This record gives sequence, structure tokens and C-alpha cells, in this order.
Amino acid sequence: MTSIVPLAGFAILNLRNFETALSDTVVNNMAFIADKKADKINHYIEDSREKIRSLSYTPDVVMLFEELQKNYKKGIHSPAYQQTENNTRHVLTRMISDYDYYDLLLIDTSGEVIFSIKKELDFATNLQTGRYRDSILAESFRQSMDFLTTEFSTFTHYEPSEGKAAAFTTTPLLKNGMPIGVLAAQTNLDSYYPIVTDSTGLGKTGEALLAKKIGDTVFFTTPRRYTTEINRGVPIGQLAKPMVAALNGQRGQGISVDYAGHSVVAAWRYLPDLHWGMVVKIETNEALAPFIQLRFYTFLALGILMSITTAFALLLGKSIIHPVNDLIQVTKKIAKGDLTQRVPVYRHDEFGELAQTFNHMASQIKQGYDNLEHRVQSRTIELVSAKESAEDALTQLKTTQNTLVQAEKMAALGGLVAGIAHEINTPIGITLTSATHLSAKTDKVAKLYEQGELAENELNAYFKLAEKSTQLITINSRRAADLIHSFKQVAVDQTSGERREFDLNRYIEEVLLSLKPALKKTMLKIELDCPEKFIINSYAGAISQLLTNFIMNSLHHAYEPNQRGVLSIRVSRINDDMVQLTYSDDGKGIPMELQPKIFDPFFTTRRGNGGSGLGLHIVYNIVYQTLKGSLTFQSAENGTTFTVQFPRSLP
Amino acid sequence: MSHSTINYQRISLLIFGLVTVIAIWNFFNQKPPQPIRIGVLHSLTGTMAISEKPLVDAVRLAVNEINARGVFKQPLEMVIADGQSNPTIFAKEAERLITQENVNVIFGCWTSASRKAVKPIVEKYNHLLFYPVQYEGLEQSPNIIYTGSAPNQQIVPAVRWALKNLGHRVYLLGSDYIFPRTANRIMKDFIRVANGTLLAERYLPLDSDGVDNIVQEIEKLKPDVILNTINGNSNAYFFKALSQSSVKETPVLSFSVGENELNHYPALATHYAAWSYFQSIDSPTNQRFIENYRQLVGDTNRVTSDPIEAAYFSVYLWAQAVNDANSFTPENVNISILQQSFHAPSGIISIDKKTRHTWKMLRIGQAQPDGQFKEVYNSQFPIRPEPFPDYHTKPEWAEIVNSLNNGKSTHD
Repeated sequence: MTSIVPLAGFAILNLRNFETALSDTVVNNMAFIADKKADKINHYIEDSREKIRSLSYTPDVVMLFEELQKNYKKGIHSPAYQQTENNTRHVLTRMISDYDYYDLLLIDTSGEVIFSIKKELDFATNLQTGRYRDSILAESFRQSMDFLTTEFSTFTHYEPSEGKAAAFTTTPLLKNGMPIGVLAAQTNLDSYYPIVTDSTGLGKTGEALLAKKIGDTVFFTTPRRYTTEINRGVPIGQLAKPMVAALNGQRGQGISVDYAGHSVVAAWRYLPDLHWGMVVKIETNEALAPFIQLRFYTFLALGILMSITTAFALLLGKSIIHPVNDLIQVTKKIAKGDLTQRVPVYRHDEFGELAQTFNHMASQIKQGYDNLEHRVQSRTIELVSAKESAEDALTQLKTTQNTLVQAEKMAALGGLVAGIAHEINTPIGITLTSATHLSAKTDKVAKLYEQGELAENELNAYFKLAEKSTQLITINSRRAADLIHSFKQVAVDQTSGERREFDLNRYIEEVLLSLKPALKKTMLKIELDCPEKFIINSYAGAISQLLTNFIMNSLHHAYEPNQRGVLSIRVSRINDDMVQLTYSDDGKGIPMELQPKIFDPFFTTRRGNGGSGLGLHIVYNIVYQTLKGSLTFQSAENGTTFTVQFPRSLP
Repeated sequence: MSHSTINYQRISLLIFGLVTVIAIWNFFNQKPPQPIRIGVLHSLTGTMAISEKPLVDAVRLAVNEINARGVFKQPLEMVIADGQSNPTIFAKEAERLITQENVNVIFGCWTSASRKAVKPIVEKYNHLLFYPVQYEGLEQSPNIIYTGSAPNQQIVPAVRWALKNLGHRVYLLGSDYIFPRTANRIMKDFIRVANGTLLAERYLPLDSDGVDNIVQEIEKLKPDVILNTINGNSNAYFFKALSQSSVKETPVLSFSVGENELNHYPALATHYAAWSYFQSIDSPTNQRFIENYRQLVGDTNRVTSDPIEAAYFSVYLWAQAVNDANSFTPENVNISILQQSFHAPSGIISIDKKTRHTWKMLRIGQAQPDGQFKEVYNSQFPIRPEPFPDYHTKPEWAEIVNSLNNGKSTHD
């Protein structure tokens, strides 16, 4: 269908072009014909003038004229005149034999028509005084006499010739520059017709019209095709445009409407010789016949073509739409979930193939879907048992983890105990040594006293020794007691896990004290910055474990042996109800790639050296689970900082 | 869709868009069409300026009207040249207009001297001159269209009318150059034919004010009619002198006194002029013409005259010829111009194919106190032009012209 539209458009465009081209050609044709006719008319007139003028120069004619003039006075029936008249007729007839003149006349200066071949009523009358003094011949005569010109008058009714329309070619006969008479040739309109009515190139409906205007009335000088009125004047207002223009002196051509209302191709001209307007026209139906025919056949062809293609298109459409619809329906059903739907296959062409392929695809999909179901089911079963195994493993792992944590705690505790024992050993040793020494010295002094050999200086020495020893014993006993006290605190707290109100500052100091033995081997210092009398209500044991683990980690990982360093603990209040505890060392820091793992259980870089990997994991748990707080850290090459935030008072 | 298909589509779209843009750009950026140049060659300075300058305005009026109506795709453009009232300059300027200014046609000349100087130029270049002034005829150049009256259209019928209506005793008076001399030669023939009496034939040098002798002679001879072919300022001197004489009511029929000149002379009811056009013609075409002309020159008192009207319709005839020939070149227009006719303010005018002159009417007008002419006679129909009056053959006329040029005869 769509191919028809541009074709139709092309055809219409072509038609239009053809119409324009043909119109132009036809109009130009009319213009050409009109100009040729005008030329022909002009030539006819010119020829006549030439002819008569040269006739007037002929000495014979002048001579005969003078003779006629002389003999005319004797009377037209006189033998002299008759003879001259005969001669003249003879000569003149021969001279105009090749020309179609109706009559030839000779007129003398007074206006007397002294000769005429035809001898109509104008013969032997006077054109100045006689009956025909207002006739066209008389006017022409005067013209030639006055102006010495050879004139072709216009066609008008000439009474002497039974009112027939006639024109006169008149010329003066000159002698010595003075006119002696006038030679006149009469042309009747009927002999003029053939020139005008020659319808070459005007086809069946074409005609050439000539008209003259007298006042506001127009008289057609040729018979017209569509009216029988000749010589009855037409008011100029009733004239068709082309003739009006022609009579107005205009020259042109184009498509217009004629006096009978037909659309015509016309050319209009003004003929100055006759003061006539000329219109040459042909009906557009005839002129544009080729175009009209072409248009008819084009539209017919287009029409037929269009109906054929429409029928074809409909048929084709039907054969396409039907299977497509089937396909759409089945696709919809499948989309809804019914995978058993199939497209009916009943053709052997591309659509059949499409249907078959589609069905195959649908079967594949269904099969795949069924397989998938099956696979999903078995996968699910596998997953469930895997899950159960995983869950078992997890439970076991958790149990193991708890055991290990406990073990670690025990180990830590054991380490702590060992540490404490080591520490206590020293003051206890000193106490024992001092007490033993004092005891021995006392025995000695007592014996001397009993013998009465105690010297004063020995007694003084004994008193000094006793003072020093008791001092030592006191200090070291106190020291041992402190240590035990601290240990007790920590141990009790560790094992009891009791929540209580305590002074964080004093408590941390105690914890540090208990760790002193461990730190003694190192070049490390501990700094504590904590507000005094900082009462909190929390799990003291947890805090002690926390700090212990931090410190132990730094000890084990952050420093080379004998490297100097500072471990600093800072405690501060955040808001009213939160405590921030930061622990930092200035060791070598935790490498970037290990940082994500430090809280992982069993993660350690000291596996061979007795590291369990649980230290920071325990810290993590303590902070989040026991203290209900949060834990962050930062580590770089110049140290590590752990920041713990927890509620000051636990509910 | 493969990549190659996309590219193909994109390229076509691009080309289409480009073409559309270019087309639209061209459409809106069309260069203004090249104007068609027409030459206008008249005296803008010198003694003839006062007569010739209004003709330039007449041509401009026609050009403006034609441009306004969009008759041609390109506008007409006037190239105005000053002949300086000097025939030699006229010839030079004509050549310059043709060869350097590349005009397609020349509208120009007033005096026969200037026309005779330009004639060989337009013939040499096969160009085209429109000559709008009445003249003595006896010329037919293949490259000139004569839109002024030939002697048989003005002089001959006017003389007949004068002898019929004013009297038979004739005094011939003119300026001393080719036009008056030739005109008088023809007039003498017709005075004879009409059985009139030639009392005297006198010539004044151009611009001369030596009219006293003449007026005295007129007083002595008392002619029935003075046939006056004086051109230029001398007319003023003559009429003034006549009006102060004892024969001031002698009828004078002038051939070179139009509305333009009449303002400068004391005009009497015994003074007549012969033209094909008078401003007083009462037709709608003429009314419109006068109105538009006055509007163009911005002077509500400006008069129109025969040469002005002829200069005006010459442009229209040329434009019609261009249309018919579908060409501006002088060669082609020169052929199609011969078929043209036009409804001018003076009536229907047509070019006569054979003679290259114009069918024109003759009107005799009587001078009015308001500087206008009242028509007292018209020829009813346009008269066929005969630059070589019928009653002599062309060779005979050539001989006559020769003898006139040699100044052989003042009487005949």
C-alpha cells in the first residue's frame, strides 16, 4: 500500500507539470497564430497599398485618367468617353488581374467618380456633394487628396455595393507634385474572409474574431461560431475579456472565458490599420485534450492499481495477521504459566516454521523448568543436611571455643599466679632472711647476756640490727600482703565476675601493681591518667582482664626486647553516663593486612611462642557482652591505640 | 541490527538534514536579484535641460510602476546620463552607456541633432534607442524606435487643418536647423496642394532674440496664420514681441510649444499647438498618469506634455517587448518591439512594423489662460506613421534632405 502513495504523488506531480507545460505551449501557440494572422492582415493591407500606389505611378494610368477627365465632361454616354473608358478598363483589369479587387475607381479633384469598372451606384456621382459624400469611399478620397497618402480604409457598409462591407485603398494621382485625382480600389469583406477565417492550428473549436468599436458598441466583422448575430452591435460591457482588451489596444495571451462562457486559450491583438481588435481562441477542452486524456488514464490506472494492491494487501495481511495472532495468544498463555500451550502448525512457509520452532522452544522451556524443579528439590535436601552438619559443627566449635576460653582464662590465671608467686617470693624471702638473721642474733645476744659478757657496743649493734630487720620485715610483709590483696581482688573478680561499685582509678592501679613483675623485665613504662575517685558500677574483673590482655599483647608483639616504650592508659568521662578508656602503646603497631583479623578467635602471630590467639577475642567479648560497650582501635608504625567506651553504670 | 545498518541510516539522515539546512539557509539568504539596467540619455544641463529633464521623470514614473508591479523578476535600474544639450556629448554618453554601463536599452534625445549623433552609435552596437519627440521624419534607423510623431502625423494634418480653419495666407517661421527646415519643406508642399499662399519663410538662429525684423514683417504681410517651428528660448522672445505688436491676434499654430513652454509665454486664444497628446485629455488613464507623475516629482503644478507622455509609454512598450521576447538583449527586443501596442494616456498606440514608428493620433489644441490646451480637433483614429511621406519616394526624399543640409533653399 505504501508504495502506492509516493507513486500517486509522483503521478500527480507529473500531471501538474505536464498541465503547466502543455498550457504554456498551447498559449504560446495561440500567441503565435495570432501574430501570424495579424501579420497576414497587415501584409494584405500593405500589399494593396503598394499595388495601388505603384499603379498610380504608372504613366499609362495618369494619361488615361487625364483623358477620362476630359471626355467625362462630354458625358458618360458619349462615344469619346466610351472609348476611353474601354481602354482604361482594359488596361486596369489586366493590371489588377492577380489581385482580388471588387472594383477600381477613378475620382477627380472635385470628387467626381469619373470611372468605375463595376459601375455601381457610386459611378458618376460626386463624393463631395453627392449622395455618398459621407461614405467610406468619400472619406478615403478626402484623406488621399488632403494628405497625399495611400490609405487602406477600414471595412464599413458601402451602400452602392448593396450595403456589403467594403474597404478602399486610395492613392493620389500626382502630377508635378500636385494631386490631379484619386485612384481607389474596392475590397469586399467576403474576399477578405479567407485570410481571417483560416483556421489552421485552431482545431475544431478554435476561431479568429475581428471586431471594431464604435462608441460603446462593438461590431464583429466576422461571423462567430456560437451565435448567429452578425452586424448587430454588442455593448462593450457584454464582451468577453480578451476582445475588450484587444479593442483597448492591449496585446496578450492566456486562459480566459469567451462570449459563450467556455474556458478558452486565447490571444488578443490590436490591429492599428483597421482599428480592430482580434482574438484568436480555442477551447481549453480541445487545446488541453492530451492533458485531459492523460489525466483520465493516469487516474484510471492509479485507481485500478490501488484496488489491486489494496485487495492484495488485505489478502497478504490476512495471511500474516492470522498466524501472528495465534502466536500472540499462545505466548500470553505461556507467560501466565501454562507451559503446555502450543501453536497450531498448518503452513509450510516461514510462518509454519516459526510455529514449529516456537513450539520446540516452549517444550524446551517446559523440560528445563521441570528439570529445574527436580534439581532445586535435590539441592534443597542437600542444603538442609549441609545446614545441619554446619549447625553441629558450629555447636561443637562454640563448645571448643568456650573450653579454650576457659583454658586461656585458667592459663592466664595460672600465669598471673605464677607472676604473683614470683613477686611475693622476693619480699617473703627478704622477710624470712631478716627474721632468721634477727632470730640468730637475738639468740646470740641472749646467751651473752646470760653469761654476763654482753658488751655495750654489741648491744647497740644488736639494737641497730633489730631496728633494720624489723623495718625490712615490716615493709616486705606489707608488700607481700599488698600483692596478695591485689591478687585476691583480681582473682576473685576474675572468677566471680561480680558486678559492683568501685573506684576505677584505684582499681586500675591495683591491676597495674599486680602486673609489675611482668613489666620488670622490660624497659617499658606505664602511665595512668584517670580522674580520682572515679566510681563506676560495672564488672571489675572484666576491666582487669581487659587491661591485662592489652598490656600482654603490647609486651609480646609491639616491642623488641629491651626496647624503650610507654604504655599509657587514659580514662575520661563522656557525657554523664559513658566512660572512655583508651589504652595505647608506642610500639611497632599492627600491620595493615592483619588489622581486620586481630579480634578473630585463635588469630595469633605467636603460635609457636605460646600465643593462643584468644587475647583480643576475649577483650572483644568482654567489651561488647560484659561491659555492654564498644571497641575501636587505631594502629600505625608508631603505635597502637585501643578505645573502649562503656556505660558507667550497668543496670 | 548490525552496526553497519545503523551507520548507513545515520549517514543518510545526516545528509538529508544537511541538505535541508542548506536549502533553508539559501532560501532565506537569497542574494537580491541583479537589477536590469536601462539607459536614460537626456540634457540635464544646457539650453535643452528645461525641456528634457521632465522626460527623465517620466521614464522614472514608468520604471517605478513596472518595478512595483513586479513585472520582471529583477528590478529595473535607471542609469542616467547627461547629454549637456550637446550632440557630441550625446554620442559619447550613448557609447559609454552601452559599452561601460552595459544598459539594455536607451531612452533619450530631444533635438534631431542629438538623435542624429546617437544614431550611428546604437547602429554600431546593434543596440536600441527609444526617441520620444516629434520630429521631421525622413529617417528610419533599424536600431531606433520612434515614439514621437512623424511629419505625416503632425505636420501634414495640422497644416491642412490650419489652412481649412484659419486661412490660406501662410507665414512660415522656424529655428534654423534640420527640423524646422524639413518641416517647412513639407508644409510648403501641402500649402500648395491646399491652394494656399506662402507669404514668407524665415529662420531664427537657435536662442536668438532677433525677432524684431520678423515681427515687423508680419505686421506688414498680415498673414492668416503663422506656422511656427521655433524651438527653445526664441519662442519666448517671439511671442513676447508679437504680443506687443499691432498684429498680436494673428493666429499662430506652433509645433514645438507644449504645456511646459506655454507657461512662459503670454498665450492668446489665437494660439494653437499640434500634438498627439494634451494634458487636458479627459480620460481616466490620463488622469491617473498626471496624478502619479505629479506625486513622483512632488509638485502638484507640474504639467505633462506630448514628449513626457511618449517617454512614459516608451518604457511600457519596451517592457512588453522584453516579456514577449523573454529576453533583455537589444537584438531580441528589437524584433518583438515591432508587434507591441499599448493603451497610453493619449489613446491606443501601436508600433508600425514597417517603419518602426508609432501609430499616433493628431490633436490640435487651443491655448488657454491657465496654460493648458483645449482640444479643438482630433484625428479620431491613430494615424499610420510615414516617416517618408508617401508622395515622394525614399530616394527623392534623400535628395531633398541633402539639398536642405546644404542650405540650398529657403524658399521653394
